[in-house]
Amino acid sequence: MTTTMYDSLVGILSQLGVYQILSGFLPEIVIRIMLVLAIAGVVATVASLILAYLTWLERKVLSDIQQRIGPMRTGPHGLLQPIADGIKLLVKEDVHPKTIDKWVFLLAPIVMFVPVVVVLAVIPFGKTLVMTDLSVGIVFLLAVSSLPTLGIIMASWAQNNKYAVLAGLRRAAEIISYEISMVLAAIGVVLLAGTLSLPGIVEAQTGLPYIILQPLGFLIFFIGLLADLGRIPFDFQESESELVAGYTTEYSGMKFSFFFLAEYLELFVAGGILTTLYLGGWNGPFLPSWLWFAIKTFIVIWVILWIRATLPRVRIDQLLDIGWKWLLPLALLNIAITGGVLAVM
Amino acid sequence: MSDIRKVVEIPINMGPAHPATHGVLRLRLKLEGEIVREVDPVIGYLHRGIEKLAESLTYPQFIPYTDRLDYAGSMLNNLGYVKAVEELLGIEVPERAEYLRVMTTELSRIASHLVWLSAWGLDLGAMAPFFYCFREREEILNIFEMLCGARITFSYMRIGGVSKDMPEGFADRLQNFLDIFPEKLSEYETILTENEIFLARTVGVGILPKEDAIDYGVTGPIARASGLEYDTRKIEPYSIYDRFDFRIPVEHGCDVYSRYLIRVEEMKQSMKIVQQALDKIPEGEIMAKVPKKIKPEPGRVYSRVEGSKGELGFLIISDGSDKPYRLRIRSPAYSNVAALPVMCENAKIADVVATVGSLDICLGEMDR
Amino acid sequence: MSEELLNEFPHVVKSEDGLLLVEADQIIEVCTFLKNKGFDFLEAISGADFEEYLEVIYNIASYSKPDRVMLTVRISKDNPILPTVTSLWHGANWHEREAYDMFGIKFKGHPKLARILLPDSWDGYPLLKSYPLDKEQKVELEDETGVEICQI
Repeated sequence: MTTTMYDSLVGILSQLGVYQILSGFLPEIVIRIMLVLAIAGVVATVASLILAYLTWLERKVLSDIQQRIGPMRTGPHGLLQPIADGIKLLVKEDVHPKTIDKWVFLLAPIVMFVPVVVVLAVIPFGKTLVMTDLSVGIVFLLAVSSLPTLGIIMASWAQNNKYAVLAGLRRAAEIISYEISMVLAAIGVVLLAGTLSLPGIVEAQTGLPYIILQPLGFLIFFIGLLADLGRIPFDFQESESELVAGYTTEYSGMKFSFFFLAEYLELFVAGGILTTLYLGGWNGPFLPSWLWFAIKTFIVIWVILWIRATLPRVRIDQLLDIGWKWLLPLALLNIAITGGVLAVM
Repeated sequence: MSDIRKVVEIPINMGPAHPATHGVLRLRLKLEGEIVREVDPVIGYLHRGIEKLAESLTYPQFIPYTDRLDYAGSMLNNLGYVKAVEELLGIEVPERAEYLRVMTTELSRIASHLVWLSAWGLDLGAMAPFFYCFREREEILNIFEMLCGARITFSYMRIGGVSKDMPEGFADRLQNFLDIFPEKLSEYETILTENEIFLARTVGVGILPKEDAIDYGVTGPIARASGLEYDTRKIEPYSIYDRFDFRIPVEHGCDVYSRYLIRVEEMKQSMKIVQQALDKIPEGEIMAKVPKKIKPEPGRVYSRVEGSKGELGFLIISDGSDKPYRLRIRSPAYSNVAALPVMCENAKIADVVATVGSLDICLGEMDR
Repeated sequence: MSEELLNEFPHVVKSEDGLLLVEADQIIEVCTFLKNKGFDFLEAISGADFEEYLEVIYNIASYSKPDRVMLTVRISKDNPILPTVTSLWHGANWHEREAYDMFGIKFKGHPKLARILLPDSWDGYPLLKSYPLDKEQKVELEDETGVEICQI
């Protein structure tokens, strides 16, 4: 059983003698709830800081590739830009058309945002830095991380706008064509690790990350992840030159910022998932485990940004083609090869 | 309850305010899911009545208005107009002025194609070419600024010549630009020409067969991408174009990818022309002897030049006064966009965006 | 080319200022003749307003040679009708619509003779010399289903 953040926190508190004092006058369940909430709070705060600075990072990386300097005015090297952006989005007047479906319109940003935060619970950020070690971690992760699509489809329907509806339909068609291949690719990892638990998978990669054993699976998973993120070359849900602003066409102010934040948090989570499944997670020599995790995650994020700055967008039917005609058969082949090799060995 | 499986055609309005319509073009689309069944271009949102205005302006006064036609390549419009008036007056333009005209118009053509490439890249979702292209366009605009003080609306040409001679250091700066530009151009090609996604998005998209190109009177890079070897600079060389060694690129793909190839090649050829003109430019006057008050004899003239978008024609009818009696502008984009429904038959939405972008429309010129 | 045209069509005349004048009802025949002779490129169709008559000017060129022809058709102001050449060139469509838009010249047999640059609700033909420059216009905008959405 892996040490979770809760276990290590209890350990630290016991050493300091604080835990013993607390348990003197509080029932154990209350202490447990308090500690869990504290951990969740810390993780959420750190995550939102990271995602705020992801927007800054994206702008800087893009501008560097495009021979600009990017934000420079707010703070040194524009470091306060995310905060300024956040304040601007939050205090903006909330404008929406008369013809919307009010409740769905309101709920959609929340439905998109919450699952992305929930995924954070199972990602092992370091050797002892995992909020919960679910025995079916990878299943939970893949299931929950595809929920934001529901938010996108709700949003596109609620706006009563043809461009938004098109974006939602595209998203729905898109998700069924790559999600299956993505899950099938992940099965290769599960077969090798022999466990569904994410800390277990990382543990199994000590010494040899799965990107070397599963190069094909890695590629399929990475392409699926790009499509899941809705980023160039697969940004059909937004594709500003075709669908104006896609599923966020009629959104503004705080509701829009929720979509915006959810997308960046997804980017971070995607980096985390790829690191955990294929890049050996927090494994690495010399440096502390959480730093290894951070380095690998940011390399993945940087590659995704690099792709965004370089490639044009493919057409929606071309992605569906890739999904069904290439990724799916290849993912099945990957399982067959992995299973075959394991059976022989 | 109606059968939900029945395919319904959705009417959708693309523009006049839409990121991909390059200004205020409006397309009325009929969609069947992602497939576009009908395209109906609606134009006129930028109509300023320039032809009517011309009737109350003297001949020289109209030059600044030509800047505002195709604002991505204003020099070409300048040339088109002054050339028409000169033909009406029967004026010979001095050698040096002709060379300056050729140099500035060809640079203007490069600038216009760069704007097109960057904007089209954005249409296809590629962000990087935008900034690269604007970097080089900036240098062209700096060169123009050095020459005439303006960056977009030059009004550089005059009836009978050009307004200013080359300033000191101009030739060096231009030479410097000509030296570095080929390298930069190959940078764009690295990003796009052999990129798999780019090819998947452009090859075989927006097909305009040769017969239809003739039928619609399509000119410019679009006609040449459809296999028509038609360029006013070659077929009826005006100014001093017969003295330069350059070729007219022709492609037979008829698709948007061919249009891209044509424009990239045209930039190279234009550069070649500018280089030759810079090497050979003679000393001398830059203005012909032109009467103070320009009053052409009654008559009419139709004069055409090769603009960056296609054939730009000016029909001027003079009644002997100092103002044109009637001035008609044959704008290339006007005829090219009329052929859009042919190119977008059963296309996907994304293809319509790619096709509209490939036309290189400029609404200032289309709506006049 | 103009000599050939003058020989072929006795009704085509050369005016004293060098214009090729074509009768309105002969324009299709003349254009077909030219098209068969290799003049396959319709550059522009322009209108013009003179004191006694309206003019429609056809600029026809060729995609393969430098020759050009300018045809002029004079029509009366009271009944500005002439046949369309859209059957020869689809490209004539928008040029004829513009002539209609600006001068009120009607083209018989045109597939969709409607205003093109000006809004549909425009009153009058602005490029006519008689059009009052200070005339106020009420402009209505419509959405794709034809429902009026705003007035200016």
